[in-house]
This record gives sequence, C-alpha cells and structure tokens, in this order.
Amino acid sequence: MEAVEEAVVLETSDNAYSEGQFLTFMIGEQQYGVEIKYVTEIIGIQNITDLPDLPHFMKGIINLRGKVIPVVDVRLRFGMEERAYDERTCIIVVSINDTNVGLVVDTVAEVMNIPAENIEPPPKVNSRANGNRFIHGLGKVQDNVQILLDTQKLLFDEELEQLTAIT
Amino acid sequence: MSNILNDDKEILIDFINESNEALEKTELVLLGLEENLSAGGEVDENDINTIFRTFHSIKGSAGFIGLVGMNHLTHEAETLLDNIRKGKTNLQKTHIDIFLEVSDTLMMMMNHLHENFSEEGFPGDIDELKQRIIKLIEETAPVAPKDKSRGGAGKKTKSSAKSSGKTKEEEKPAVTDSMVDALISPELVKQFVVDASELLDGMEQDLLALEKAPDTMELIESVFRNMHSLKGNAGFFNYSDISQVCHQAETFLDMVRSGNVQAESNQISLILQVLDFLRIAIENLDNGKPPVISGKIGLLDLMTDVFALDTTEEPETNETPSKEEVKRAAEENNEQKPEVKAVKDATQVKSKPVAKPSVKPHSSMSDVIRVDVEKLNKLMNLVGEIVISESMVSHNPDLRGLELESVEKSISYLQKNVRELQELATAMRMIPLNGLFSKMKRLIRDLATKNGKKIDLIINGGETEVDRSVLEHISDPLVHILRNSADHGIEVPEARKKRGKTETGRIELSAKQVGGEIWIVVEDDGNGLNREKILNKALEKGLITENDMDMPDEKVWNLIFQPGFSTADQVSDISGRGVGMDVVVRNVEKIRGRVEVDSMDGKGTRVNLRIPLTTAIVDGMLMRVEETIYAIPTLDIKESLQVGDQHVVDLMDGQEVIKIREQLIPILRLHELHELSFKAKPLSEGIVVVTEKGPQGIGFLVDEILGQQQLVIKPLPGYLGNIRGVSGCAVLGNGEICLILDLSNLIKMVEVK
Repeated sequence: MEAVEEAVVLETSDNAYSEGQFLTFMIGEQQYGVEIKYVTEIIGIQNITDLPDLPHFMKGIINLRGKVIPVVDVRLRFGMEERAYDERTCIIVVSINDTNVGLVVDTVAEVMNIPAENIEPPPKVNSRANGNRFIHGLGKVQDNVQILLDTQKLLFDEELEQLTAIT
Repeated sequence: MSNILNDDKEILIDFINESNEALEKTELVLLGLEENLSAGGEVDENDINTIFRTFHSIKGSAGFIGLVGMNHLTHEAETLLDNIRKGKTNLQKTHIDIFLEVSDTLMMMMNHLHENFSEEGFPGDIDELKQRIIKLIEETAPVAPKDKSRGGAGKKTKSSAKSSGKTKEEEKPAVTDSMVDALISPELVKQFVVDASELLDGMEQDLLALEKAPDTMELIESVFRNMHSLKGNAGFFNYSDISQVCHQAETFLDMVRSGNVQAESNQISLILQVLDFLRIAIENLDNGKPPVISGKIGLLDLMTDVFALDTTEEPETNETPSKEEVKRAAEENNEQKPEVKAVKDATQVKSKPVAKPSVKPHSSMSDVIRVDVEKLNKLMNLVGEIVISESMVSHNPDLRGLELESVEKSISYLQKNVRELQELATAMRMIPLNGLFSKMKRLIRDLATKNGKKIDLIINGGETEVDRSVLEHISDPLVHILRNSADHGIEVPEARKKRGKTETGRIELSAKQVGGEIWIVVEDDGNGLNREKILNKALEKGLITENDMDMPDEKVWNLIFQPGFSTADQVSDISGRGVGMDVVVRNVEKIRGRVEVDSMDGKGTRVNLRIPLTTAIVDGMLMRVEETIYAIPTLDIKESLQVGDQHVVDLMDGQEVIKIREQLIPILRLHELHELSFKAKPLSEGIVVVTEKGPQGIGFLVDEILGQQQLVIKPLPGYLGNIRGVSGCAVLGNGEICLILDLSNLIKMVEVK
C-alpha cells in the first residue's frame, strides 16, 4: 500500500504535467479542465452582487450558505466575449491557498481521468490572445483535446496583483 | 531544547502564559515601588516578596523545562532581590531599573519561546544583563563572596542555594514533597478522592440547608468538621492548594461557629463556590493531574475580603499539619462527633501564608478557563451564521401570508434564543481595558524620565470592557496619543512653573461606556494645540488656502490628522515625525470608531476615541441602488428626504449640492460609484440619505429605502483587493448580500472631486 503511494508521488514529481482527475467544462465549443483536487463544489448560477472597482472579469460576490465568495467569469478572464447566463451556466467553486473562488462557466461537462502520457505541454506558439498563460497542459482524450488549466494562474495571475497594488 | 515534544508544548505554553501574567503584575509592582521610593516612602516588603516569587517560580519552571538562559537570568535577579529582602542592601532606583529590564527581557524571551518553542536564537543579550546584575550584587552585598567567585556564567544553581538562604528554604518543601510522594500509593490517592467527594457532597447539602436556616448550629458544626477533615487529608498528601483554600474557609467557619460572626448569605454562597473549586481540583486528581486550583490566589483574596478575615497576623508556620493531626481529623470525620480540642488546634494550624499580591488582580478571579482566540472567533462566526439562518427561516417566503400559529410561536422562541446566544458570544470576547491601560503607565514613566518631565498618569474606568478585536486596534493609537501628550503636550517643569501650573504634569486616561460606544479619553494639562501654528503649517503644506484661515477651531484641530502633518519644531525619536495622528485615525476608523480633539492653547488637549462596542454587528439602514443593496450604520444617518428641484445647486465641477436648512450638502450618486447606470437621473426621483460623517455631512442618492436591520458584518474576500467605499458586507435574511458603505472613505472621494 505504502509502496504504491510512493510510486504515484514519484511519478508526479517527475512529470510536471501530472496525470489525474479533471473536471471539464465548456466555454463555447471548447472543453477545458481543472484539476479536481481544487474543486469543492458546483452550483447553479445565482444572484451575483456587483462591487465597485473590480476588474472586468470579476463579477462580484455570492452568498454560498452564509459564506461570501468572489466570482470570476472564465469567459471574460480569457478575453472572450460575454454571454448572458442561462440555466446551464454553472459556478465551479475552487479552493486554493485557503481562498474560495467561484468560476462561472458555460456548463460543466464531466469528470475524466487523463493519464500522464496523454498530457502534453502547451504549444509555445506566440498567442494572439492572453489565454495561453493559463494553460497547464493539453490533454488528449480519444479524438478530442482538452485544455487543462492552471488553477493557480487562473486565479492569481500577475495582472490581478498589479490591480491590487494600484488600489 | 529543539526536540520538544508536542505534549511538552502545552506545558510550555502554560508556562509562558502564566509567566507573562506574573511578569505584567511584577512590572506594576515595580512601578509602584519606584513611585514609593521617589516619594521617600517605606518599601513594602510584600512588594519585594511578590517580585521575588515571580522570578523564583519562573526560575524553577525554566529549570524544569530546561531553559538554561532563563533559569540563570532569573537566578541572578532572585539573588539580588533576596539581598534586598534580607535587608543587606537598600532598594535603589538602579535596582528597580534593572528589575524592569529583567522583566522586559523575560517577556521578550517568552515571546521568542512562544514562536520557536526553544530558547535558542533569542536575539537579546542575556549574558550582558546577567553580568550587570552580578555587578550590582557584588556592589551591594560584599558579605556574599560566593557570588563573586561564580562570575558571569552562573553555572551551578546549587551554589545559589548556599548564597541565598531563602532559596534554600523554598527548595526544601520540594524535597519533602518527593519523599511524601514516594509514600503515597495510587490506592491512597483513590481513597482520598472518594473521601473528599463525599465530604464535599455533605458540605454542599449542609450549606444549602444552612442558607434556609442560617442559625442552625449543628449545620455549621458539620460543615466545619468536614472542611477540617478535608484540609487535614489534603495536607497529608501535600496538596497545598486544597489545604490552603480549605484552611481559609475553615477559619471563617470557626468564627461563625464560635458565635463571633453571623454567616451572611453571600458568604455562604462563596463557600459553595469554594466547594466547586475544590471539586475541580479533586476531579483533576482523579484524572491523574495535579490537584491545583487555578485562580487560587484570587480565590483566597476573595475569601479574605468576603469573610472579612484578618490574615495579617498569621504566623509563618509549617504548612502541613502533623500526621497525628491528620489522623485525628480523619477519626473525627468517621465518628462525626465534635471535639473541641482538635478544633482549637485546627484554628492554630496555619497553612502557608496566603499569597497576597499587593497589587490585586482584576477584581475577583473566578472560575476562569483559557480559550484559544481562534475558537472564540469561530464561535462568533458560527453565531453570525445562526443569526442569518434564523432570519432565513423566519422570513422564509414560503411562509408568507400563511396563518401558522404554532410555527410563529416556535420562531419567536428561536429568535429569542438566538439573540441571547449572540449577546453571550459577544460578551465572551469582551476584555477589560485594565491590561492595556496599565501598560501605558510604563510608557509614560519612560517618556517622563527621558525628557526630564514630571508626569502623573491618572487612570479611570479601566474595568470598562471592549471587544477583543477593538482592543487590538486601539492599542497603537492610544500609544501614539499618549506619546504626543507626554512629548509635546506636557511641558518641562520650569516652563510649567512659569505658566503658573504645578510642576508635575497630569495626563488622564479614562474610559466609559456612552450608549453603544466606548469613549476612551486622553486629557492632558500641557501646551494645548496652537491654532496659528497649525494653520500656518497646513498652509505651507498646501492642505488649506488663505481663505480657510478663519475656519472654526474643531476643523483646525482635525488638520492634525492629515498624513504627514506635524507641528513639532523638532523631531524627537519618539514622536514628531508626523506619522502619528493620521495612523491613529486610520486605525480607529478600521473599527468604525472616530477621533475627536478639543484643545485650549496653553491649557491642555483632550483626545476622545469613540469606539463602537462591538465590531461584529451593526445596526444598519438598508437601501437599494438599482440592483445593489447598500447599508449605512443607522447611527451615522441624520435624515433622509426627497428633494425638489429648487434645492439643487450644480457646482461648476459637476458636483451637485443640496441646500437643507441653510446648509449645503454635497451629493454622491451611488449609481456612479458602480458605473451602474449612465443615465443621469434627476435627484427628485430618488431619495437622499444624509449622513453625519465628515465636516458638513454628505448626501447619498439612492432609489429606495428598505428598512433597518441588524447586520453581521463580514469582511469582503481578500481576493478582491481593496474596494473603494465599501468596508464589508452582510448576508441578508433572503440570502442576498448587502454592501456596507465606508463613509469616511466615500467622503474623501467627494472631497477629492
């Protein structure tokens, strides 16, 4: 038992694009994935309270059973066009470094296991948009490619730090 | 040291907490001594003993835990104190200074310990301090050559026992302890526990009966007998806490028994409480812990007070009764027959003299437990959640319009309980200001000494309680204000004489509760603020224009709260860099308090910190702006009104101003704050809420007023960074979030405009 666990640890430390379970969701036609270990729950879209001075991708705060948590619209975070929320819109609540943040996505797809050998580093092509910096790796599942996101960067990119420094 | 086990950490933390408490007390005693000394008064032996005890017990524990540096330092301090105590040396100011230094160093070491769980890496120079103490010892006590030979290292604690008789004395019981311990088997302890519990039960019953019939002699006799037996048994086992407490109670009971005094009801109830304490000690014993009574000293003090005992005459005799006596006590208990002789003996048997700190601990220490602050915070949060869920239930939309008598009854019961719970949880976090205030004594003393001034610090209302979080936030501001008073306010003695004032300056620090606020006032009879000086400085800094030179006094005083403002001609190392007062305001505003200044040139200054009782809950007025709900603390609202077009004035820069009863009030459209809507709505379509904050008040344009509600304030998620104009949020009964406006911040925004 112990030996098995150790093996897993070794593998992850060897390979930066670690395998594991991913929660996938849709933005438009593309499927994205976040590591499931960060996800605490998925809730339907709900009333979001707006706040002054927020960067455009931050939608405000929601009340999650008495806890107040901030909400980020992933579409806007990627610099994509805004889209009206509907009944399929979901908020994925992730918890990282003791911070809870809700991610608004078009809809949640599924939980899938992607083995390490199927994950490739993101292409080093000069990107037109700023979306690439959030990519942690590309997961190949059958004929599809999943864009696996770096949750840390998604939430705490330097853009945000700059913003807090100004205010 | 570095390999301290987890179990030991708890012991260590206990040690740190206890030592810190004792050290704080010691500092006060030292300051008292110094005052006494400079006034040419007699040195109270009790004071010296108190200090000695503190150092001694820290030394003992430190030695036990293995903190070598602390052990050695306290050892030297103890030796010096012992010389003083024995009259070999007279107490001098240098001694007090060095003891204060030792006490400071120890406190720093405690902090270091708390963080690192080890003595290693402590930055202070203990050896140097130790050397200085040793030098003092040598200077003052040439009769004790042993101290000299030992040099600075203080390698052997043993030699201390030789050089200081008292230490030896104090160490002796420890030896006997272990000897007795060896004789006591677990079975014996078990027996003691059973006996003691029975005795306690019996006493409780008798006392309860006694409350109804206070004059029944048999009951008093019975209680007395049982108490005496318990004391005897505890004494045999060397459980000094129990025997001391029993002894005190017994002395009183004896007085009642012999008809000297009548037992009052409050005295009886105190004995009942004493029983509770004893029961806890015995439970501890049963669980394999030492039968200590936490808060014993306070309890003994309280007993002395309530029972009106005269403890001063108690001779210092052996603390444990002889075995025969114990035996007799036990027999007596079994036979249940009064025996005059034994009782007489009993009154003569004295326990260790009651530890009487000359500075009393905050009123009466009762049954107190230490709780992790984190737990309290969690409890407070949870209570907040319960308040919200309660209102979610009671205002549930599904219930609207239904006539449900029994549900309503249950809800109102729930509401009542929740409110009580909330009050209780809030009260649990309340701490008296005493601790903070007495720290200021030291500050003022140091400042006065440094600047060659004479300052009396008078403290009033230290028993006033504030929320723990409030205490944290006012500590720094208070230090700033007092520094200002001592540094700039109070003049040097000559200058004071010239002005016809007493040479000794006076700073009064007081606290009181006024409505929902605590007022902490610092008043000095020093220089006062100089209107001209402030105005000129403000002009120079570009804070005001020539036109403002005739502004009212209170506005002038408020200028000193501007960042970077300082009128001090010279920058001292303590204050005068102009970083003081704006920090004060900022800190106080963080807890939704405010600062008021009043001053008379040449006569003195008064600074008033007005702080809300609690920071966790606020009574707020809810208002809607488009989709967003805002709240303003109800206390800050002056009025709300609908304005007609005729009142509105558009200033050149686009700032709208309304005129209410000859007063011009700037309007802030909350819509704009959020860029919620770009259509300029005429003012007459909304409601203007006028608040009292700021120099002339400010009006907020909102769409609708929703009503008043108790709000449990939650901070905004730190992830969002700083949000302009919003200080926090609260979850409403329907699950919606309302934003609590930060008025002072908003006012600044308008002013900048």
